[in-house]
Amino acid sequence: MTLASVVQVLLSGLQIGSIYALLALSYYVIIIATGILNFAQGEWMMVSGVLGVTFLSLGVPYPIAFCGGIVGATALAIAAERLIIRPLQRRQASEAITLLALFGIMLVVRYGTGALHGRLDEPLPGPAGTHVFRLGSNVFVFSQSFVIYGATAAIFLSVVLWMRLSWLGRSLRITAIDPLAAVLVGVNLNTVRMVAFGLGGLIAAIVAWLYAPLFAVGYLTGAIPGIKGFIALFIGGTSSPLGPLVGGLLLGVMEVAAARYLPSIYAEGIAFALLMIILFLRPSGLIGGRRSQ
Amino acid sequence: MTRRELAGLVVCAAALAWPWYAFGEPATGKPILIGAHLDQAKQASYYSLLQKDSIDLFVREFNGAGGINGRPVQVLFEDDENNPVTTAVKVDKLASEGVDYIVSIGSSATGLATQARAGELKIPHGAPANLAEQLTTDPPNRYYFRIPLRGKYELGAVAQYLHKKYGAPKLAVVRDTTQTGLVISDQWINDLKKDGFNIVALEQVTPGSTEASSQALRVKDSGADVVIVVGGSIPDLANYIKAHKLFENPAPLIGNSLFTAGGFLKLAGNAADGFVYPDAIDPSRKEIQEIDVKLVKAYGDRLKNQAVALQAWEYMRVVCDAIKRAGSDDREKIRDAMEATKDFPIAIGPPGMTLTYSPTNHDLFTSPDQVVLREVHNGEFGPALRWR
Repeated sequence: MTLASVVQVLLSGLQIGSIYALLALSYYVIIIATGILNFAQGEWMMVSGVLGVTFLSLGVPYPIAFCGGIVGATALAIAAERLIIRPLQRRQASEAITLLALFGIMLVVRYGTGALHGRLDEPLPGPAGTHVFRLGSNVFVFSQSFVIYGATAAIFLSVVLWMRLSWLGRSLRITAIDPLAAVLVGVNLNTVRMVAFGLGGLIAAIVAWLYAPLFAVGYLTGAIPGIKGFIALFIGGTSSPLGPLVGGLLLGVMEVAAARYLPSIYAEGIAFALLMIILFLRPSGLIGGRRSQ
Repeated sequence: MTRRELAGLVVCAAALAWPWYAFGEPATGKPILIGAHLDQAKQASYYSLLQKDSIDLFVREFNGAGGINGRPVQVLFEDDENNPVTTAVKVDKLASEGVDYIVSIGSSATGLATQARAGELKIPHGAPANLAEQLTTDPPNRYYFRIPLRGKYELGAVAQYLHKKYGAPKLAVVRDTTQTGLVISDQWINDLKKDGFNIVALEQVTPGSTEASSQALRVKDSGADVVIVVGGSIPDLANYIKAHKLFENPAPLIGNSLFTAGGFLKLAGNAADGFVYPDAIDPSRKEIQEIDVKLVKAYGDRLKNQAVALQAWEYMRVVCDAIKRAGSDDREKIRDAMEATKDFPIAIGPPGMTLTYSPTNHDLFTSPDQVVLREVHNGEFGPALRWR
């Protein structure tokens, strides 16, 4: 284990860990406000990337394709809440039915995109290009990695500040603590739920432009990061935005370190092993456990 | 230009634009039904749909030229959902609709399900592009006929190439974790070991990861002379190839034939240059170029140089020829005609390749010597390597 290999593991781990952390954050804002685990978060990410690729192939300028992809995916997330989740909740549908509906949305969006756009994975150019910076013979970092690190910090900071300082953000937090009390102090639960789904969709849609330039965009692109984001959320805990951040970064670094220092055939099991150990030792997640004490 | 010259020009242009098959009498009689199952939307769909487009165009052209003794061919497509159980149900459905033949253009797993069910129903069937070695049995399944590159010979050709070019190289194997990736790589590892190769590293790309630096560094540390990259998840493997080049590992990269489909060149970019892979297609063949031109004209660059699409075209040609020779809709007679296919000129494989089936052989590829090896060059799938 050399210093160079440790540096490379950290750079790579924080890079993929940031993606997991952001997706975990997108689950987090929905789960705290509504108690709903929205399976479709990975799909909003995929839709944003696919829309971006489609716009770019039509000759649309990059900034417009970027905004179009994000707005389109966020609008879909809000539409899913308004047209499917809200009517179900109004009819007092059980939690299981809501989860089933979300699962259905995930499948329809995934395979519908495949049918409409095609099944081939395509590259999505990153906002910072494809430059490679060498920090030694065995250490490199992509220009896109800096975009990932910076955007992750900015998005987490924005969400924390928004939840603390804005009326809507505070409504979200109050609803998370006690929905009944929130209604009594004038919080509109429908608005909170729509904002939570919209914000979750927006974060996932932005992630596409961080992740896909280093991977690819296709109709299945959201599946694996979506699962890993979910695992990251429960590793970190749901008591504050710090949970998704810690969970995501830890998962990313552990995965890359396992692939580097153990035969990489074990790396994939690390995420699940880590989740099981943490849930056993700290059932409310790493951060949740500490805060509850 | 005078009015007469202009009229002459228009007539000439119309004559050139007229499809050549229009000179034949279009087929009009009762259609001959061929069934096909494919993955419409899931993991195998990207190569299923390429084959479907090719079959559609072939049938249009074939029927335009007169079909089979004046009868048009009609293909009934069924979505197998990339699920063997669903496939068996769809085979029953196609059987009840009276198809004379079933073509598998889904994954090898669904192809195996078709082989079992269509065999029971005594319907001749087969596949243009299913690679799995298990599809060939000894003796061959009585009703199953295929033309794809077989895993065994693909690997055999790579082994010959490695011995000839590098002697006894130390190998590293890099794979992805899809079912296809694991199944194919296990077969490669076993067969390479049997061939006497020393495998010094086995690395697995974490699915969906943004890069594969850990795997590339472990491979570099292993001191492997050649790196074998096998699997089915092209984005994951393209990331390995990029990391391999970024760490300036001089070991050459050799892959399996699945790299020809799935946007590999776009995803790997310059890092793909020098990548060697086995293929069923020799792009220098005139017949291949002619089919390719038709497919690109009909569907655009999406179908350019797509081996599976070219194989689907050729397979339909073989099946229609057999039905014509059978002179009947009788499934048993069509099966017999398929088995009697002899010295049929086919555009798959190296120049001069012909197809001969027999009671003991229902495959096109019968030796590693028939496998084409190609190299990515300047961002394109390059010409066949002349190395033998």
